[in-house]
Amino acid sequence: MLVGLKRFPIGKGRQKLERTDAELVLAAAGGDQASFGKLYERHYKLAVGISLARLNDRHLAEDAAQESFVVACRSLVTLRNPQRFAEWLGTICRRTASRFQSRYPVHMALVEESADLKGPKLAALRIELKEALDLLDEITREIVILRYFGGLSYLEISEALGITPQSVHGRLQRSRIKLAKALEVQGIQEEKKNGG
Amino acid sequence: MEGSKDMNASFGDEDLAQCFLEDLGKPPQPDFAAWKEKNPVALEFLGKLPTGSNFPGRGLVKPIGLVGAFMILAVSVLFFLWPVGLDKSAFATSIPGIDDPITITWTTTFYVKATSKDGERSWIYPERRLYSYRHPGQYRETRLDMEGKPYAVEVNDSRVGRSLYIDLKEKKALLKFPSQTYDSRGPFAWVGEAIRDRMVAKSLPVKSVSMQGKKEFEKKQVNVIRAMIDEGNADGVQRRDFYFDEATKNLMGIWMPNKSDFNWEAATDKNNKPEKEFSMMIPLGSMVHEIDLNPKVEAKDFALDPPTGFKLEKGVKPTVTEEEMIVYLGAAAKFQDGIFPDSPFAAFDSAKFLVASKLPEGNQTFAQKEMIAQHGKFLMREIYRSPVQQFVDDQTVAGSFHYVGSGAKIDDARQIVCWYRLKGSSRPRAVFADLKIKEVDSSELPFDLKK
Repeated sequence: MLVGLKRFPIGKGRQKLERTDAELVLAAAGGDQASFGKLYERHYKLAVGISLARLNDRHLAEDAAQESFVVACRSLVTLRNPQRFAEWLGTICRRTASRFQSRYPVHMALVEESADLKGPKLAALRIELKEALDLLDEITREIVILRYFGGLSYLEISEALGITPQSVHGRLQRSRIKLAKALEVQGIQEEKKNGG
Repeated sequence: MEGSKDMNASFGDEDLAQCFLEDLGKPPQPDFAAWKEKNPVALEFLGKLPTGSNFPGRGLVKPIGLVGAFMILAVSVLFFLWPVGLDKSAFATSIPGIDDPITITWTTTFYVKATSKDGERSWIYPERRLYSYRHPGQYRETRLDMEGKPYAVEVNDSRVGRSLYIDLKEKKALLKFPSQTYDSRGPFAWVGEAIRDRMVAKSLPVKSVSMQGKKEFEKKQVNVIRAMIDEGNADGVQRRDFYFDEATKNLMGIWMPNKSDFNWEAATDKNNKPEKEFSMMIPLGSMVHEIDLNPKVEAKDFALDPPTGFKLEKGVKPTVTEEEMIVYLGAAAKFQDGIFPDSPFAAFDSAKFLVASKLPEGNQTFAQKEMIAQHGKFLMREIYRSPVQQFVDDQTVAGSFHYVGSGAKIDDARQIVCWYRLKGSSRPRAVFADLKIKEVDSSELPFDLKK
């Protein structure tokens, strides 16, 4: 059931990048749209993840993330510390998501059928996962979502949230235990054994 | 317990990623071209300096490129003409009265609105209190009656965590724990945090800091800086106006209205005649003023000794009993859906608690009500730390308290949550998840401490 999932590396994200965030920010602030495009592509998952931690709806979170980039684009020239673009964007996302939260009533997202998992079962999992995530404090919820939904590295998460990678690691470790209990892993594991 | 540990260890990154994949689908993929098409106007702002319509309201414009010098000049002019957001670096240098004070005296006037017994009339009366501060961390507060005569003094020493309350009329003094936390860095260090760090006491975010203009205050021209601070309670964002002497940059005053729109100067009932009896009192705000930097103060005024001729009473040290500690832990478990917390010293999620405490009482669950009541009970007793920690420190043999309740389900009579030895006792006492307590032998404990 878990075939195809690779282990998540700790902090490899930045090594592959050609230009740093600071360089891209400065270029974009000077009017270079392509540089802003790079920033968009690099941090889109981060923006969706942070929005999702508040909004409980993937589609709404994507809308909030896109609106956050509009805000970021309009106010990029006021960013005082270009190296901290990710952290700054995260703050914008939280504000935008809060605005969305007040604009749209709290709801459960509609269940869409997937090839592997049919409606009622998915609905049950969604409720379980949501309730499990609600047990976590906001920062930890963001970390968990960025890690397991966005697939961000420890280093990327730590830069976005302004905390150390060690802290990310520690919080993830603790949250796994909490989530395991909440998700009643035994049942899931048995399903795995049975090939379900 | 062991079973649960094994289970947790095997629930790793991949399992969680699988849960997310099944629930939410594959990670989102950025499509800049689509975004660009949807938001064509947004990109037009790149390369342009902010204007009124796109300026986010916080921070002076950071000039970029060749136009930098011109913009600094332009923004400086704007800074003095209109209320604008202030950059943290605007307060980069040391501010007299805020940073590293040696001695300060000041007055705080509290404005209280009283309503007559029949509810027909109201009036506002100002209550004055005189303060002095002496480095490091010593405070003295003198309370005045309506005629301006002192009736009580409270001396607080933040270094030793003790407070001496002196009743001048009864000629009695009471040595006790301080009823509030005093900042050992100085009385107005928080102002520096608000305007520079945009975070007060590491927990209250500052939404904005802005220049509001100038005004005359205590016969001097002052710059008015406004910080909007999220107090994290039902009151929401609170307005704090700081007055800085235009010439010396000294802190001259702080206006702290309880409601952001309260204006003492325009209050209609401030001149109404006060009555002896009232039915209700509402604090409207307070003003810190008459700030005097580096005055001469006497060391003896900050001593925790009562004045000559005063009878000293020692306040009873607040504590937590074994029964209370168990009820508290139980309330924390119920508050968290029947699961005991990971740590007994941070027994509940404060964000969840904040949300619950903001709910109208009728909408709160029984577990939420109980947790809020427990929390309030110990605050009223002036215990500002974990009640479990207070119990451990006061009632148990040092090093004998052990907590193994993380994840235990409430009412599980077989699950030990914690054990300890009470002072003067040799047998351990174990608390079970059904909130029962019994004395046990070492062999009954989850693990042998000697090993």
